[in-house]
Amino acid sequence: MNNNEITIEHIQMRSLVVDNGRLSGQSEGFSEAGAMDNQAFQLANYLAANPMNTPGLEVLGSITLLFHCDATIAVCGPSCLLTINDTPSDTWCSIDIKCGQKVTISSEKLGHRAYVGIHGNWDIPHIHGSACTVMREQLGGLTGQGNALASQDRIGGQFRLSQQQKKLSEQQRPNYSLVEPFDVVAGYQQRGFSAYALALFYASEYQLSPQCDRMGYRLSGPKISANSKAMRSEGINLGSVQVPGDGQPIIMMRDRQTLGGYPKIGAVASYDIYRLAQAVPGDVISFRPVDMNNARGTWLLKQRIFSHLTKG
Amino acid sequence: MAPFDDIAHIEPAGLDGLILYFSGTCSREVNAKVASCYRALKYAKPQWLKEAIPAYDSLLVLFDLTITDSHGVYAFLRHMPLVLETEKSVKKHRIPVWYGASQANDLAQVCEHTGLTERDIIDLHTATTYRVYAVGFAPGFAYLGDSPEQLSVPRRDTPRTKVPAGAVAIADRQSAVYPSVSPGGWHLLGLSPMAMVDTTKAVAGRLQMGDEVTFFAIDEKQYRSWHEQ
Repeated sequence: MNNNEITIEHIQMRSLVVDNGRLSGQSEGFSEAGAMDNQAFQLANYLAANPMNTPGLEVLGSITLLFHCDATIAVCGPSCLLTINDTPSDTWCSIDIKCGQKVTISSEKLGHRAYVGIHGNWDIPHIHGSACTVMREQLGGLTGQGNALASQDRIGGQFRLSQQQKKLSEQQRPNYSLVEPFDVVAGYQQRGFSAYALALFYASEYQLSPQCDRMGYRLSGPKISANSKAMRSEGINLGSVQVPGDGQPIIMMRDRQTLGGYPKIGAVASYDIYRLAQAVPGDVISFRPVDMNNARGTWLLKQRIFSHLTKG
Repeated sequence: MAPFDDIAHIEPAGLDGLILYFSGTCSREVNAKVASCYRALKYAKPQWLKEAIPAYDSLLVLFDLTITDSHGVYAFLRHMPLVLETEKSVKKHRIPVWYGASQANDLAQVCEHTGLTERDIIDLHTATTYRVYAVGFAPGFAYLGDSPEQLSVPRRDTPRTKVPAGAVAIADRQSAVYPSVSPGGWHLLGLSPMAMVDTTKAVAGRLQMGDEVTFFAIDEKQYRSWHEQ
């Protein structure tokens, strides 16, 4: 056995290898993919002193890893938990793991995603510039075949201690509250919806249905009717709010297909996607329309705060 | 005539996207306008361009918010010069099909829907020069149009959970070759031995927007020996 690797001892639910995704493949039909909660993922890489697009783990449920080397890791997520040899340890900070230690990552709330950054380089195939797993496309992950992580899998690479200890205060962590409405940039077929339908959409609360996965989040709430004028399939951006015939909106997430033919009200602003990604079935959310230019202002501001934090 | 003049209207498509819609008298004309704008944009390669996703009658343009805003994109598109299509840029593909292959055979249902015989179906399918209208749904999946009106069939009542790779299919006035195993609701005519996607390549799909495609019939023996040639 290679002594510089990590083996997977135990998995509950589903863990995937993710990164920032394959943006450039969309014109060829590849899903954008990428970490659902990109904030927590990038912060885990920052704390593990990695370049931002280094692969990491997206953990739904729990995963137990056995380290065959010393390595610095970081675990981030809205209710993430970390134990080392069954002893609870800190999250949202750099943690040095010793060779032979058993590390378990999970979340307190079912459905939350926890992210693990590991300092060093992965031996992993890249397809269209990304190692991200898309199970539906049988792409990415440890073998490139799109498999979720399984017990006994080996993560090969050059993992090591980072010599940097970093920690995020409560204030520096992303705000996962669902109280604030989600910003929606109106567009696409917005004009095809009646003023009543749009007012109803923005004034109502929607519950996340059990049909939420990496492709899309299906909501349940007041029925929105679209003018069902036949349309051709077209490019779908991240966060697009599709309204199929049953009037229950679907928000398109990272593993969405590249083209689709349902009318869309607009798209949730990209800076709000991480928050939506960590909402779970049963949670209640609402929306507000934002102007595209104001939304860009908000994005630039958030981006500046983020780069101040991560670039010191 | 600049590509911008063909745009019928523009809508926001998220924080970092604009979707351009084109119109025209027939789907082929509209799609040619999309292709022309897509080609011009790829050629101009503005620094802010993250991705452009062409489809039947639209082009989704994704831009880098740190470099520009929607007005900047609009202004750029306004003055973007036309890039002429060369003979070389229209690729022509001839795709072999083992019609009626047992793993991919809905010919009976297609006969029932269309009133055509199996022979008619194969003749019509092989006589059509298709154009790639869009690539999407799955890596390398090309939407081909238009099938002759007589060959138009609705989607299957129950989609298959597993369509084999290489399955040649029709739905409405479209045709396609499934590049890899996937669920699918189209009616299957047969199997092609030709690989449609190689995910390790920079250009992964064999078929690209604007390409021309024709099909020709092979038998089971030719199908099986295809890879030995």
